[in-house]
Amino acid sequence: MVQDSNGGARLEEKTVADPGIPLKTAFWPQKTATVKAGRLTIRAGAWASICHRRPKDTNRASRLPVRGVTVDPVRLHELMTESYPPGVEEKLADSTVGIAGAGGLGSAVALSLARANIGRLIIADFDLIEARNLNRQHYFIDQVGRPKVHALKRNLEMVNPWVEVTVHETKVTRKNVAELFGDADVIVEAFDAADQKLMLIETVLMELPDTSLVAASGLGGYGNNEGICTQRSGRLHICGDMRTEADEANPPMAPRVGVVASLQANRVLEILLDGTLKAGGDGSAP
Amino acid sequence: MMVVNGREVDWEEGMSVARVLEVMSYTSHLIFVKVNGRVVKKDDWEQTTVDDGDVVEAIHLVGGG
Repeated sequence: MVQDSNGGARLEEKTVADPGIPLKTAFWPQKTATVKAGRLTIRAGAWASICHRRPKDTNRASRLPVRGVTVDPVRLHELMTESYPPGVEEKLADSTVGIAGAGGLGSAVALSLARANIGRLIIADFDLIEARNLNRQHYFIDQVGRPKVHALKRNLEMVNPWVEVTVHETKVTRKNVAELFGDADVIVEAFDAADQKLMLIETVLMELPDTSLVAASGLGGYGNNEGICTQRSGRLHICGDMRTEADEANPPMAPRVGVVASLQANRVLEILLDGTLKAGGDGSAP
Repeated sequence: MMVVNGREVDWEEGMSVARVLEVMSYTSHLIFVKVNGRVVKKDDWEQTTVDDGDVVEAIHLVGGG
């Protein structure tokens, strides 16, 4: 049983499971309504945006975008969050994380946070997928040649359609950081070039005073788990070994890149869920 | 004396941020600098002076990701 925004109760699961139901009478009557089902707060915008991709294809209205698989999306969300302690699911659902870059780090962080049921992701990258990227980036063979952000959005939908994903196929510059990522609670720096990293750190710390930034520095090569750490300076958190540049001598390889990306995603959760790490939480200046 | 990355370092009269980095042999141009918790952009390293007793953080950034 669920309540609609007017307070009335309806039996909705049957409606969702029936094929052929026109979308406007399906589970989400309005794109912005918040429907509560027991302890589960469902954000209508997310599911509505999936349904509305193919408005004429009403047979798919009840299914997730995976051919041949029928999964009740409400049940999926319940199962994905049933093990979480009280309050965690809501805090994450209310959180927005920006990811600057959709390469080795960005794609990995995005998937990790999507699986962890983050509410919203904002991802920006201008680049296209190349076959050589598959040695560390979370894309698939049939996606080579496509813009990274659109392929990543698709991949995220296939994992957790409840995450609201906003993508920008654009280069991040000093001038557009605030516009792209102004809504984010935390921003993840997932660039390749060191000068871009510096640009983002300087710009976020100076222009977005309420936003934490989780950057990465030093992830080339393989092995040396022991050298990888997470350091913090006020609102800036940096994951990596702080020295191994990704280059010919130490190319980026999936495991070590993944370690740093997971450290970043893990630190993001800590910032969102543990108040002491938030911007200004340690009393230090910006 | 000032503190640079947690270590005590001798201070010079009229020292700029750029000079602090030189003294520390931080030669990379991709360093993120904070003086007393405030960001000092790379463009401002020459003009920004550091006072006796200031706390400086200089974080090296390397590429990859």
